[in-house]
Amino acid sequence: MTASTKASRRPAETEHESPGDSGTASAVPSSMTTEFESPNGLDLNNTDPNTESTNAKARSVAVGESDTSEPGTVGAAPGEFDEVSAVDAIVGSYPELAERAEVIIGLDERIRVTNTTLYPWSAICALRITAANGSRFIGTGWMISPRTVVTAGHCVYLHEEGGWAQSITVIPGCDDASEPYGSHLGTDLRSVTGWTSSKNREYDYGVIILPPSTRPGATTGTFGFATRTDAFLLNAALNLSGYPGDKGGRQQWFMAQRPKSVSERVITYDIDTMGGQSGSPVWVLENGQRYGVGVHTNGNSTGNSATRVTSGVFNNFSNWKNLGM
Amino acid sequence: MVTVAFQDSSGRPLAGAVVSVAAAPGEFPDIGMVADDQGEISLTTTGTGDYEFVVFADGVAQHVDTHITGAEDHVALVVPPRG
Repeated sequence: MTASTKASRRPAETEHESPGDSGTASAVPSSMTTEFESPNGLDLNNTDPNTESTNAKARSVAVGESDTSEPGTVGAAPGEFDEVSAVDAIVGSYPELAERAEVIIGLDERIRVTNTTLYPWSAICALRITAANGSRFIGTGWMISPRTVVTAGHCVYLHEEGGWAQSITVIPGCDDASEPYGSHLGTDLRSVTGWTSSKNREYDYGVIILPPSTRPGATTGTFGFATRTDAFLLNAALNLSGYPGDKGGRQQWFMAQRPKSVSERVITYDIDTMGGQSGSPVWVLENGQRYGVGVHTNGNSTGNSATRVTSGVFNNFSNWKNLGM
Repeated sequence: MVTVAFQDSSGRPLAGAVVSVAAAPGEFPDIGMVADDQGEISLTTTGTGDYEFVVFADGVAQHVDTHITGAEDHVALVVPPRG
């Protein structure tokens, strides 16, 4: 599936990369010439809260990129369509519900995804998290490369539970007892200092880099990711799908709505969520391409919310995507 | 942090139950918590007020409410039988 080049469908401030194109990515050398020790994985060298933080012993430095959209891949899972406009995003994202689409908009209900082997549902993963202190949690993640799983920062680094998780089991397309793409143990975790050092909700995002021996994203397909303007997001249908705990954490549930508000780093919406959906993709569908524009993180009676994909988040996602190729 | 223990109406701990916060005084992370062998979770409270939990155990999700002031170390909640 190729990214659209129809300029009329893009916000003026956004750009697209062609699939398979390395784009205009360029390495940005670290401005740091000396480094402090980093106790407990905390990086004290940088004041930029989007500075990468990792549990890996060999720390890699995030690079910058100038583009703001990076396409995903459909992978081996069958795609549904090629041409769907943004305003049809809900129908396009869930073609089985096309006849009900007008009811879905504004309706405050999640809908179970019954065939998780179809893309993009196949690229959404149930997470089983074992914290440093042995406590167990559930969350959600989404593939952006064969081995890179995006999730919430608080799913990889749990401040009250000892910091970096011991391990996270990733189950793409989980559907009750069915694990159509297997389960994959990840221990290479990344986030940013804005979360690991500052516990700032605006930087609550991270990834799991799965070991080279396992590449589920090559089969499930992957999400793209993109920055988008306030005006675009406020008029976009936001799709969110994940693994809520009130359904047991092994069933995928979906809902879509337009957002309530957007701020510089947070998107707020009335999409229903429940514990276990932390890390879920919040995506838009443009011309048949799915772009993650947020990472669901928080619940609140005044509106649930996601960490927004900003240029800093985009740059880290791009780097982490490459680590998982 | 408050330890919240979930048990059924017979007093048995709901080990392995998946616990979600459905409502709380403020914003809370949307992570699901798995109760340990004693049916307990450690809750990072978001303030004084009413908390609503959804407890998924034995294939059933049940709601249970409590009021937390922040002064408690331990709260025990009985999840009502289905129906």
